Amino acid sequence: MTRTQIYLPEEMHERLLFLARLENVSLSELIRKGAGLVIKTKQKGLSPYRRTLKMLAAYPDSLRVTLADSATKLVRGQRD
Amino acid sequence: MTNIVIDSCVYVSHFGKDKLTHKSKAFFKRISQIGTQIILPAIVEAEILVVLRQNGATHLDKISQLLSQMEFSPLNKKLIEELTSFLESNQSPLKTSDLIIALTAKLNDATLITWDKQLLKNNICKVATPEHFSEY
Repeated sequence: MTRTQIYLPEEMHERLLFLARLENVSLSELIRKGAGLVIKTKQKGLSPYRRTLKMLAAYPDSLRVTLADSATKLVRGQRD
Repeated sequence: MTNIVIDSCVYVSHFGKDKLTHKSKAFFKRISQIGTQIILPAIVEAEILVVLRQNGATHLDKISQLLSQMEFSPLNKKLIEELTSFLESNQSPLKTSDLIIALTAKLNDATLITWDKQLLKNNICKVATPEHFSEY
């Protein structure tokens, strides 16, 4: 899991805390559930191929490694 | 639907960080919005994984998963037969991997998308930079 920090309006935060207590889950778990629902709704109707393309386009910066040289030179190095 | 073959350098630039990353990102964003069929030559997937690993990437399974929905073009006997047939009637200065990638694009009536100047000069298949392709 990735740790992230977000700002919530106070009222939303209080309501979420209330719901979390009501459902006997942590606030994090409740927010994860909500995020899952947003993803599901947004991706509804997309084929697996289109969904993958969207995920590919939204590849997170946190997973990007700094390359030792330009990608073109690195790949060229594999071929020459 | 437009067929495209994306060269390894465009993927590596997208999954890594170099001076062209922002343009590679814009290209993938663009193709996620339009109807394109991506053909993935086996050699391209192998190069992406090897180069990224050599540069410290540790999430290769995630990258393989993202590539798994593309139309995989294997390096098999059929492709070697196509290569033989091509070489019998053509002379090409391209290196083996470059030739296989360009030939895969040609056989699939696809445009090859690359940042590589050597491949941009090839006369085997249609070719464009990600930047140029995104303009259409």
